[in-house]
Amino acid sequence: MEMTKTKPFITLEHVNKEFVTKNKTTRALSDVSLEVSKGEFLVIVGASGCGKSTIIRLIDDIIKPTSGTIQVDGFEYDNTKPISKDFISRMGFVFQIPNLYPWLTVRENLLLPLKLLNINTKEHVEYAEYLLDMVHLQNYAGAYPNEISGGMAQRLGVIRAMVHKPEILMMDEPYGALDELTREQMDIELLDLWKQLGTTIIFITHDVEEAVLVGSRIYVMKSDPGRIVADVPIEFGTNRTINNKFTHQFSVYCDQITELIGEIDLSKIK
Amino acid sequence: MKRKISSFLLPAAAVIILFILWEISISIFAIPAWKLSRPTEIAMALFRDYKEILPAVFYTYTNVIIGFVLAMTVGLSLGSFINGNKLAGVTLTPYVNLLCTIPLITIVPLLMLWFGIGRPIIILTIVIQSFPIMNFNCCVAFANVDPLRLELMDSFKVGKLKRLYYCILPDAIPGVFTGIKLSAILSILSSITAEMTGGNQGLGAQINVFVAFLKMPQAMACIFYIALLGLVLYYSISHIEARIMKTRNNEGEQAS
Ligand SMILES: Nc1ncnc2c1ncn2[C@@H]1O[C@H](COP(=O)(O)OP(=O)(O)OP(=O)(O)O)[C@@H](O)[C@H]1O
Ligand SMILES: [Mg+2]
Repeated sequence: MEMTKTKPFITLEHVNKEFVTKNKTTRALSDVSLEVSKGEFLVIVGASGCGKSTIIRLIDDIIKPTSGTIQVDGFEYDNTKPISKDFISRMGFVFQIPNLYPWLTVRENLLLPLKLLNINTKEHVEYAEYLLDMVHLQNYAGAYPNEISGGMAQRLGVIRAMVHKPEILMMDEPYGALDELTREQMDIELLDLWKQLGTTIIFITHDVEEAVLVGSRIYVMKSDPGRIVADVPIEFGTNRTINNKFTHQFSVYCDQITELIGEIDLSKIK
Repeated sequence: MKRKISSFLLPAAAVIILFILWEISISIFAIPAWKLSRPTEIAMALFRDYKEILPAVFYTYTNVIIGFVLAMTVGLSLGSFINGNKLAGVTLTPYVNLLCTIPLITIVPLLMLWFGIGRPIIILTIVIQSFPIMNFNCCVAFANVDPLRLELMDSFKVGKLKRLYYCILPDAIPGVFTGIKLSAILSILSSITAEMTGGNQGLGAQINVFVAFLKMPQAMACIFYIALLGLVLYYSISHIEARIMKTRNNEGEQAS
């Protein structure tokens, strides 16, 4: 917060979210307030079930809060009705699993958001091809999701969220299912993209090292009830490389954040 | 390729063997012709009496096709409507499903009493009998669409029609096809039932006439045409389904 000299781009104020099911009420988020500035690479870490996904699902207007306010670029969400299509097109959402449609080819999956948002400029279609190329899926453009590897599917899930050139990119453990080596490579790719495009990114992970590697700031969350317990700026500057991993500062950050996440009570994880 | 040929040849061989056994047993057990006809007699009736049989075939086939297409359309549209509209779903579903369970034979005479005999009433009968099962299968398939796939739609704030077109329908294809197949079968069944109970045209009525005159081979020839329609419909639908599903067999979920 001391970090953000510019006016915050995304703001959550005293947000509560309860899920009511037949036999119980889960307090997924309790009095969560947070700020993200424009162009920031924000990471949210925390153990399973602490409400990470819930936060970005709220910002992407997939669900509504029980109470509290959400503001994006000065516009306050109405808690009773969905935000407009124009506004939603400024955001991209990467699901926790790639969530591809098996009946569409790789390219059709990628172009789906453009169809849904009624975008059909040549510029966007060319950008889609550029994205395919960038994540090395060009040769698989005509393949179906069951014909590509898990890593390819995840990359496709990521570029599908970028194809309409959103200003805000929300990523829910995008590389969670990948092995560490591949994941690191993807993280570096993502950092390159971020530097190139200046997109505001909210990135969720439960991996502390990944968080420190990519994030310019990290929110640490705890569960029961889900809340933010710390706000840690990571001061490696914008020139992030894989080499950061081997610095002393890196392990200091990792230790600090691991400490903040604290003991994980496995009995509370469903 | 080899498997494809044998999957065609083996059932064909089975039918030929069945016919041969049938023919032989009639001779061996000396079954009278008015009880059961020989396959050769039926085949002969197919060619010899085509003037009596073919108009009935044409009448029944067109009714079934028209009725089936209408039933499919009504079932799918109603299913889509119910899926997009909770209130309509709660209100209509019990009645539509009740229609599935009413044996048609009980209402055909009533319908004929009200509206008279004729093509429109037979087609109406087919639709009433066949659309509920289509509707039922569509509703089940639509309700079971992967919620995460729907979430992708919702995250783009798309309208109901786009949601249906881009996500619900393709996701529900297998269930929808089950409905299509069942309603095809019911269409044939109900058209024959209607013709037998009150019609004066079509294969159902023609069978009644042939049986009354103990013309068994001719009656069996009519049954042959009914079976043929069933086979052609069923396999055409399966073929279309297979082509659609080809791209996504073992559509395993990506790692989560
Ligand atoms: N639709 C829902 N209905 C009921 N409870 C829910 C729902 N979605 C989330 N929850 C609950 O809210 C809490 C937070 O869920 P959330 O998915 O945000 O956690 P998370 O931090 O993303 O966990 P993970 O790392 O496992 O993905 C959990 O206790 C979860 O059980
Ligand atoms: Mg999650």
